[in-house]
Amino acid sequence: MLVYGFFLVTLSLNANAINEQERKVGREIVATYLGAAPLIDDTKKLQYVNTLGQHLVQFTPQPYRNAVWLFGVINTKSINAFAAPGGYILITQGLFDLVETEDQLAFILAHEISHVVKQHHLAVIQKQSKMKQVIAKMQNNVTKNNDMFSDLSDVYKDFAIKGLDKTAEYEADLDGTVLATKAGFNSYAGYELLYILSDFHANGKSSELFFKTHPHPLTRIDELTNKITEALDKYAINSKPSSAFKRLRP
Amino acid sequence: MSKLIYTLKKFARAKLFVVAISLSFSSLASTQEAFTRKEVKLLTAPEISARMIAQLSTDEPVNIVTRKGFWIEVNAGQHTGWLKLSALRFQKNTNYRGSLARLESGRKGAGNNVASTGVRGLEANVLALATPDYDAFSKFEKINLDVELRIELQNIKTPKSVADFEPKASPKKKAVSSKYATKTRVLTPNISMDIEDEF
Repeated sequence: MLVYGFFLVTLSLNANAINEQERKVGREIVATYLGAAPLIDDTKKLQYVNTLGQHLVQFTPQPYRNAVWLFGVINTKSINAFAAPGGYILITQGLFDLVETEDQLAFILAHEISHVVKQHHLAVIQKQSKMKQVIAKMQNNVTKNNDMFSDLSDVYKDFAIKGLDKTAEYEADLDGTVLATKAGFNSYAGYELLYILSDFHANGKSSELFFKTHPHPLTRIDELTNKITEALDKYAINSKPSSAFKRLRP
Repeated sequence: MSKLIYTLKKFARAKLFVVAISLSFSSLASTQEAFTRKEVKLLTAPEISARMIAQLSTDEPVNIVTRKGFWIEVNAGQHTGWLKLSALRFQKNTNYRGSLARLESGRKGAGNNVASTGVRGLEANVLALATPDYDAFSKFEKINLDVELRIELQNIKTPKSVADFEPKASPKKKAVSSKYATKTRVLTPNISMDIEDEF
């Protein structure tokens, strides 16, 4: 039933903080992601990514700064990253392996954090016919709690399968760049990562889900360049990598 | 003799197939073209203090050679040199979606999975069939912070004062908010009853 409460909050678009109802839905979604690909069996790496994420969160606006966030790595070679309502962020082992620097990894997490902060998933909900069916069931009181969670899982699977709106991705690129820069990382690490992704795709390497759900990486670079301010130029220097990153990515 | 000819023909067909596959991937990895966004200095090395080779004008076509961090080495006419990634506007891959479809159909035809090392690829079909794993979620919730690392990050990453990006409000976005707000008012009475009934 708390899920019903979630709708009161999310549909109103008045929710500015991560609340318990949103987290409950987020848990359901993340559990489904984990059903598709489990967490990696590497406690040190999980702790590292979670701690790096928590460092970035300290530079988000309130009330997100004081919210509980969780970051993890899932065991798949596909490249991707997911943000779920409630402040849950997952990146794939494949994407972790693809980055060259800690700054690029920070950009990925900052990009996903920005999706949560900007509540980009709400725009997708509105467009989904599935969501209208869920709402109709709610109004007619014809669904049980378990069914409701199941329906919601289907809705949120669409975030991963169909992707967010292109403009949401562009906005998260820009916000992620600003957030990572604030936190002390290379302001242009996002450019570097997007170029790596472009190269990854151009060389015929597969990760269809990622490329189907995101604009072309080079288009994202163009969008970022159009909007980014020259004030960030002076911070285009790689930060000193942490000992944990050097240990995990020798 | 006829058996030898048959074997040779079979070998030739197999070789042709390999060449076809190779050509397919080499076309995907063809040289990336780009254009200069504005007048920019082509430098001898990937650093701001490097010597200038030539001044490139706006919209000048270049071919990308390689990348080093944020710097790109390009061929521009008779010159080869370095400039910043942000100085370039990229030639879009006009067959971006088509190339994805080709990759997908090629793999389906071969009957292969995305990953071949025992780790399953997380693609749309896998995700669509997935069921929630609550035990795995419990494990996720138990990931601890590395306290020493947190302190180290605070020490080595110098915070920067950067202004937030403020997007222009689009009419479409305003319409979304308005629609949701309306729905909420309509839905509230029914939902409130549900909450009281079950909790």
